[in-house]
Amino acid sequence: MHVKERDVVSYLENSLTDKKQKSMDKHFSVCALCRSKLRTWKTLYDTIETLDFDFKLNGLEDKVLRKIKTQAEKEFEKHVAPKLSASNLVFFLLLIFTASVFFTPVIDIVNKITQHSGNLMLNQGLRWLNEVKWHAIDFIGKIQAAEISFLFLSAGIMLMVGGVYLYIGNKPFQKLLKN
Amino acid sequence: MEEREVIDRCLKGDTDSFSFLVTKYKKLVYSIALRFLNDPYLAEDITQEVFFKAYRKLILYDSNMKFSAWIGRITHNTCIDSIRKTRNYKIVDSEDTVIEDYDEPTDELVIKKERKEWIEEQIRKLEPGYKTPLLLFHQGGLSYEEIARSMNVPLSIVKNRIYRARKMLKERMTEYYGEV
Repeated sequence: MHVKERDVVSYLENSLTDKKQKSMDKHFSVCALCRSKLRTWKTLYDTIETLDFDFKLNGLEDKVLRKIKTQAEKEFEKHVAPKLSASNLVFFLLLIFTASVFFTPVIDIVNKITQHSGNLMLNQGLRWLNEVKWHAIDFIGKIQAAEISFLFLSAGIMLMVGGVYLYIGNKPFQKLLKN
Repeated sequence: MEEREVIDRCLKGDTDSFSFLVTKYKKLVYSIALRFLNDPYLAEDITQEVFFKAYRKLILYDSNMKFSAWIGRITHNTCIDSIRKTRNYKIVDSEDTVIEDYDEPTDELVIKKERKEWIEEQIRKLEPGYKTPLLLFHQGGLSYEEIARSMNVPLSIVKNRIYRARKMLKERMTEYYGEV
């Protein structure tokens, strides 16, 4: 019986068991047809081995590294160090303004403290403590009268407007609008 | 330097270490790309693209797989994407990209060159699903198992594809050159 084509391939790749390999050796030595099959497969393997592989690719490493580094820089600029666009500026100004609205009473108290830090002696100090007390009462009164909620509301609106403005300024959103 | 060590360094941000991997695998990547795209310039661009993609996806690399198998799969996918985009199948003479051995006698050299051109052309004509496993086996030195793992297909399929690719080549060879 003649050798199967797949077995010839396995024989060439030495992937058969020793026993099978030897029996095929024996068969090839007596069967001209299978020997011819083996020769054709061997020629094909040899021809595939002649495929070019030793390519000149000088400087490819530098090109790849340059591309990686350039892309990394671009991404850094995009994600880590965003440029100060008009929309960003407006948003940050709104944030500062909102923060100042939130903390005006606190800033006032801090100002008083710093102004009076040198005059903490007796009368001045007592007067200052009295003022602080009245500021505190006033502040608590504002909260109780829900005036502060108006401040929160206006700050919230401003934040939302700023956020929307910033979002509209984004390129993906502009692309979406164009499409 | 060990490959694993190089990959770890790259993952820690040492981009320059990546050149070790580029040097080691650039020929394999270029070899596959050239047989897909038939254009040495485009193949070089794709080679760059493959390494760039590999660097960016390095975190996903499974160290149980050979790097050559992994990068072979990236090359295969990148080439298919490129063909889809450009529909470029033109045949370009790539003589100037190859180092020839001129010490052999002229007639032998001519026969060898002719046979080499013939096999190049036949390999180019193979379907991508046959071409990549065949090249990974013969040029990348990968085993059937490694190719199967890298292409995420069963071992039997890889064996069958490589066998069928070779059989097609053998039939064409017999047809072209007659019985050897």
